[in-house]
Amino acid sequence: MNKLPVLLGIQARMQLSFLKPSTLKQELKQNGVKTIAKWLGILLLIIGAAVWLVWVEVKVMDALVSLQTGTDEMSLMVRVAMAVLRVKNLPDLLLLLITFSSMVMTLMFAIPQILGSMYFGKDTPNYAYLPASGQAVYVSRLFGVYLGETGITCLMIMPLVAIYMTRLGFDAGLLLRALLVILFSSMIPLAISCLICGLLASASGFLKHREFFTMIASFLLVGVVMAISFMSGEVSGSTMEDPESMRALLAELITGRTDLIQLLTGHFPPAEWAGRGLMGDWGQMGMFLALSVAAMAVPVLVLGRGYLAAAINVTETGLSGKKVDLKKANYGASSTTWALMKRELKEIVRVPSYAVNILFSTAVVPVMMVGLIAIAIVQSADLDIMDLVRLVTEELSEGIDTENFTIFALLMTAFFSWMLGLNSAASTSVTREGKYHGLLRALPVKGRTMVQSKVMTAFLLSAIGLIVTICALMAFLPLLVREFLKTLLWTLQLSYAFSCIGVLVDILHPKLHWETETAAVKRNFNVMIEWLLSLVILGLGGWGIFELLDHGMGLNTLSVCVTAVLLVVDLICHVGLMTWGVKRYEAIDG
Amino acid sequence: MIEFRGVTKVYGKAGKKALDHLDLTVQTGELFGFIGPNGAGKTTSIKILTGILTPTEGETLVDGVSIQREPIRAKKLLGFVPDGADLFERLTGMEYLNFMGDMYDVKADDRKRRIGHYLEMFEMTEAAGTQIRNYSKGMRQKIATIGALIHDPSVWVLDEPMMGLDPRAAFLLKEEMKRQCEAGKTVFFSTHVLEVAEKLCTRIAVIHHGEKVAEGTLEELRSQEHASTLEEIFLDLTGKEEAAEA
Repeated sequence: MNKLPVLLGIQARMQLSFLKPSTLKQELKQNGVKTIAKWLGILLLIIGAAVWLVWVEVKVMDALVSLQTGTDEMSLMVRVAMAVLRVKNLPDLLLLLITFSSMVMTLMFAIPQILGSMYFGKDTPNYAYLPASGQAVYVSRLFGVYLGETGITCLMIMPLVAIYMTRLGFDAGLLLRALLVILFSSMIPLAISCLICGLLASASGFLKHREFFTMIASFLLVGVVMAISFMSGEVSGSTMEDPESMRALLAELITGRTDLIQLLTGHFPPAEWAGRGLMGDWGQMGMFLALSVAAMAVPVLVLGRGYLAAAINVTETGLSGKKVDLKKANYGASSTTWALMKRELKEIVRVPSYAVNILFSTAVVPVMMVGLIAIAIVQSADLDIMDLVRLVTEELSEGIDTENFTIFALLMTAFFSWMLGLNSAASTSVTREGKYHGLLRALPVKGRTMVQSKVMTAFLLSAIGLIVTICALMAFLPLLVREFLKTLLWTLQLSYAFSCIGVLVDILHPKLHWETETAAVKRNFNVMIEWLLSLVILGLGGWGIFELLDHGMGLNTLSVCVTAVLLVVDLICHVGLMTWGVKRYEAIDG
Repeated sequence: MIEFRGVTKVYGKAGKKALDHLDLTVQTGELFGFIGPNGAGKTTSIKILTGILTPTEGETLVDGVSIQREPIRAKKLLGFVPDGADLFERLTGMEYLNFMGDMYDVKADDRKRRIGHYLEMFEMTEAAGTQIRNYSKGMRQKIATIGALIHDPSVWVLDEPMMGLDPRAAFLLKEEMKRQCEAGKTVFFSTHVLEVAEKLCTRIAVIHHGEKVAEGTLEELRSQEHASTLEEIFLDLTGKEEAAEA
């Protein structure tokens, strides 16, 4: 471990190199005003995201505070959430929920992150020949992952702590406890993820298709983690079994009293200790901190020494030895666009960093959602989903037409579009070209065809996940087939627009010079820019729909309007990309 | 035929010229060597010739077709082997060759014949089913060469083609370059290996600080510079310190 300080320093420098004054100065000299505009944009983006997060948290906190003091009528969403969770101490709930969520999120996202950056990253050989122990390299690289995860936890918890104290009074103890929770809360999930990844990497090292195996296994594990966290939250039919009236049921459940922390975190004791510690129990906090440190020591001691050998084993592969039979080989010709799409799809599926980041949001999450919905339906045999849908529809459309579930379709569209808005396949499509950009540009293919193939690839990936999800939902809930078909149509329309926007954003700010594929997709602001733009479109759409409903538009007319407006949006995005975007793409100097 | 007409390239706003009014003509059937020290502008010239970069001024023509004005038509006439053979690493060799066949609209029968011929010639049949990321440098160079020849181009451009090749592969490549020239094709390549340029090329150009400093057959260069070997000519034209880097 003698080289550990140097390796930790390198990790920190690499993570923050883009902020170095000399780098900024050089960039400013080369690109002038563009650099200032870029950094202003990034700053605005961060401020915008922070304002949005704080706004949401303030709204929820205010609602909970007023509910706690009984000064306000409950909104439907809060009622449903409370009914499901059966809780009191409402403002505390939000803090606990965020802490618990951040731990679950770390557990879910750390697995692909560790696999991509620590095992399948191309830069492992750069460490392997250094005169440093495997344990030191392991700790330093894990430190890089820890920094990222803790940063996200901090972004989630700190604004809420500030709002909590603004609303309920300053509490220095709470601030200190929150800081401790932020610093330590990712450690136990990280330790679990490290052990899982170490096991996967060791096992896959013996396999021919090791990347494929690891990718599928990590998806399955994330699915298992999601299912366990979902089931441990006790979101089941047992809380909604009064057949008489859903409203009465909700009201009854709200008055139910139970130990909130036990309920939330009963299946994961460290989260319970963190929760109780955050609420002022220093004994529990001490247990949480001690366990966190001990947990982190386990993978370092167990996996550290053999880390370099395991990582090199999965990255360094030889020839397959499979001789090509030239007579039987496939020489079938494809169209240019399809050939380009096939190349991109193969690359996405075969590069673990791309697969976990791109397929996760576009395909795996929707499919897993269906799995979870299926579990919920099976678990709650007495729950009448149609009653719940009718209730939501009535609340939101103010009883315009209780048998027309267009509002439900719109809500589902918003939900799926919110997920598919994070379309990394589109917003890293040019960046992923990297060192191949020159090779692609030398091909006799129009810029228009190149750009079209990128949009189609991103759209195809989104569409596959969506279609599978919607088909499964239609199978589970056949009474809502018409609504699901509407959802499919509108989400596909939005997804095409988001794909165009994503590709356009990446054309405007491509980062072609990267060292590892993980850097190409993970450290890419274009993904966030595209997601925020998609949220703006969704927000504007939502606002427009409520305005139309306020002015008395019927739900069938509204459906036609939404379809027509989305067609226009698609057309604008497509034309913008194919004219302005293509010109900009052709002007990129690789 | 290849023509550079007053090609200038300035990178970024800093204004440093990577190429300064380069004029160069390579006739059909020539095997042309392009040499110069590190950072002289060889790769920039090739990137402009192949349509990867847009020149700040001037234009390049392939068999009379401007790559700036008619990029697709001009690119179809070219076969290009990039520096370091940065190929699509996640495709197998066979998938890469079929991809190139699709890009250049090569019919199935033609691609079957050419792929078979070149894979056997470069002894790559066994490796063709493996992903390119597992290839050695020399194997990448070989598969890039086959990919560049799959559409039987009239102009073949190679950026540092000898890098990483073992002696046998280098010999095969040189033989293929000669064969292409004999078949009336134009071959244009950059190299650091002066012996290769000396033995192989019908004409040579020397580039230094983005400017062409000499051009001609080896005999013409010898008489112009009063030197006996290409190495001496190169040192005289580019300065001994910089040549030592090359």
